[in-house]
Amino acid sequence: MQRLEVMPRTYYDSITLMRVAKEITSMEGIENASLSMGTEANLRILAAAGFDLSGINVTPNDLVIAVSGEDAVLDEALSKAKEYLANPPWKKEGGKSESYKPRSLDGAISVLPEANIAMISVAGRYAGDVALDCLHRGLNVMLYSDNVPLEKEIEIKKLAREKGLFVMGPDCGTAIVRGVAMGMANICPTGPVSIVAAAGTGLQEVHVQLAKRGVGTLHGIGTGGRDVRAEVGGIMVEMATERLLEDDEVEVLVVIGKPPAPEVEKKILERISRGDKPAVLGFIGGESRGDRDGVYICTELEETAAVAAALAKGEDVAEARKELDSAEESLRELAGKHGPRKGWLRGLYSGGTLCYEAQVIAKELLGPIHSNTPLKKDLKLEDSLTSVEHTIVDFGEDEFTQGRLHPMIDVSLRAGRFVEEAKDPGVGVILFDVVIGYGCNPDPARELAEGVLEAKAVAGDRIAFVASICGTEADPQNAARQRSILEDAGVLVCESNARAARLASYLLKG
Amino acid sequence: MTELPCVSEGDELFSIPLPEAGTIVFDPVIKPGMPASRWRPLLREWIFLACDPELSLPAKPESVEKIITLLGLGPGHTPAGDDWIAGWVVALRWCRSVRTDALLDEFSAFRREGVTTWLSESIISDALEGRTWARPLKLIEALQGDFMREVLDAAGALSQWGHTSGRAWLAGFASGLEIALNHKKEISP
Amino acid sequence: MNERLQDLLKNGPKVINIGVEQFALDLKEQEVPTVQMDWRPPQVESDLLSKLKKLRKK
Repeated sequence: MQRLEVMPRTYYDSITLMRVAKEITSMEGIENASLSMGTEANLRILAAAGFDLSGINVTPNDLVIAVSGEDAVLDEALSKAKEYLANPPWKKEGGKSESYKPRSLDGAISVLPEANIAMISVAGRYAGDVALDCLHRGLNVMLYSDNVPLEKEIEIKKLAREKGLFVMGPDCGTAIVRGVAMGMANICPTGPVSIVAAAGTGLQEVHVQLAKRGVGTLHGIGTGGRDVRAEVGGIMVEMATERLLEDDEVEVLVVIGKPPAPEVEKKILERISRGDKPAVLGFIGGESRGDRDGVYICTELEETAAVAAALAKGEDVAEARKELDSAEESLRELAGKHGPRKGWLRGLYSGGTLCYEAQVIAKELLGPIHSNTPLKKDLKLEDSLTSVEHTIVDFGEDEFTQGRLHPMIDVSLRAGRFVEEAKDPGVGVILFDVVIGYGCNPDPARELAEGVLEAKAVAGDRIAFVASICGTEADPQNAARQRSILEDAGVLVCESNARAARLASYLLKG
Repeated sequence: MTELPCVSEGDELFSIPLPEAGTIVFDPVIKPGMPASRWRPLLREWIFLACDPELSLPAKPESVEKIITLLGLGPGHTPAGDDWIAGWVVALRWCRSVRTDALLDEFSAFRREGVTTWLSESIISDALEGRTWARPLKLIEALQGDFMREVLDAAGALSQWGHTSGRAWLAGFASGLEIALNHKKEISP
Repeated sequence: MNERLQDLLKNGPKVINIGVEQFALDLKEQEVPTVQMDWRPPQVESDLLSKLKKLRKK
């Protein structure tokens, strides 16, 4: 049985809606619950799920609650949903009443006149206009929202450039400003390095890898992945690079992302070579090679951090690279000890850049890698839910996040997929990432480890599990604790994503 | 000062323990004053709380005659229309001027008894005489100052009073201030 | 350099958070001055609004 209820002109952010939906779905007798705004796209999803929408009058400003399951509990589920919305059980019990929250931007500015940045995470179709409003009022912007149209992004960034303000994003999950973690970000020391990143989890990984080498980061300016595409022309990468090069506090500049459009790469290289600071370019899987006068070219995240750390400490860059090579040797030895494994590699990722990097590395060692976000179009999975040969899937892509929390917050989908992959007798290694820090799941290793144990119950010792943890011991989840939970479940935990991808590949390659 | 215990609707009044020692002092008189100018944008957005779907009151009724029609409008012990009016009257009493006094005289002249609940009537009558309860006074005090936390906490406490009462009150209050301040020069903090 | 950008980079973020409240809580935990907005979508669909704005410009 199914039931639908429309709450007219009611708005909640998507994370709240999905959390409530998750709570309701876990109720006894409930099969499925969805809370979404009455947009056409959402209504299509509901119709596809078999809900009868005839005679329902709903606009995109209305909230639609849909539940299915045993008839007897549907009413209770609906009223529970409304109760949770009004009074979320996961909110800390505080005083008697909450502080007033301004509804208008002008109201918010009157409350905090010294505000210098707006962090925007409203639905993508509104986020662009909200960002424009903020820029017009002289605020820098971090745009966490995705699904902002490309033309809107260009409009926003042109205005920002005109006003001399930063727009980080859209789809910017991570930023670090004077060591403050904004969005999904880690607690690391502040220091001489600053990063410009067109890659969200890429920024997290470099930030963390620098911290592991005892080097702090002052700023990590995210630009959103599309910034380096020809259409946007690298407006923000260029602006942020410019500002950070001028900044006396910045001693080493790092620029990371997927390989940019050639004209954008040229622009960045030109600007950096004119600067008087050593700079490290980390374009994951990029074509450019070779260091030149103060500019160091890297193709992996850990390598980027290792080179930047050496520069910050005044150490020899060649030595830092040599150390990475010897680390690779010990990974081979480790693989020899635990391998070889037969069959296919299955990578299940929550971080987009980490997924991309894993593909770049595994491709070199194992050959073609299928993915929902493949390096080459012809390797695109027909169905993201069904792996083919060597496959590495990014669970942060739209097909997984529609009406669902991001896999860095809700790890259940990946934990379940471990078991599915284990049932495939052709699978030899499962590789995954665990991203922690502010904004992420409070204890991801626990649920993932449960999935691993379930998978092991199916496959025995046939499958080796390899992971890396992107995070530090200062993070709320504590990287060391996360690590020991995974190791107790028999997961081989590596020091970086690049190492995990290598170990996984060597286990299969022998 | 000792605070009175929190009483919710449906509580058995006599079962609530009163503070044993100390005298409870509460001065309900609204002392004339004005909000600090920095809060103006915040006040302006409160006007539109009236448009929340559960309230659906007019944001800016253009005359006292229109305001009178709000008396008794809406469900509950204190209908939302009455809450709006109570806030409006408190604002005009707080930022008092010849103009606001004239408006309140006009309102009193139009007002008839028995249009709404006894509770609402006495709240509005008190306000007309320049008295109100603790939460509004706290907000008034905060708005005269310069501290964000105090304003947000006081406004939060008020806006969460009842299901709709607090928001309706704030909307009326802000609407009243808009009128009052347009006839008075603001003092800057 | 723009004053607010300079302030952001030199003195750290002071944030107006529009959307997911968890971000504001995380920032407050790091002692960052933060105001959470109770943002609601505009009553008219925003794309319709922008079309109207364009019409007005013409």
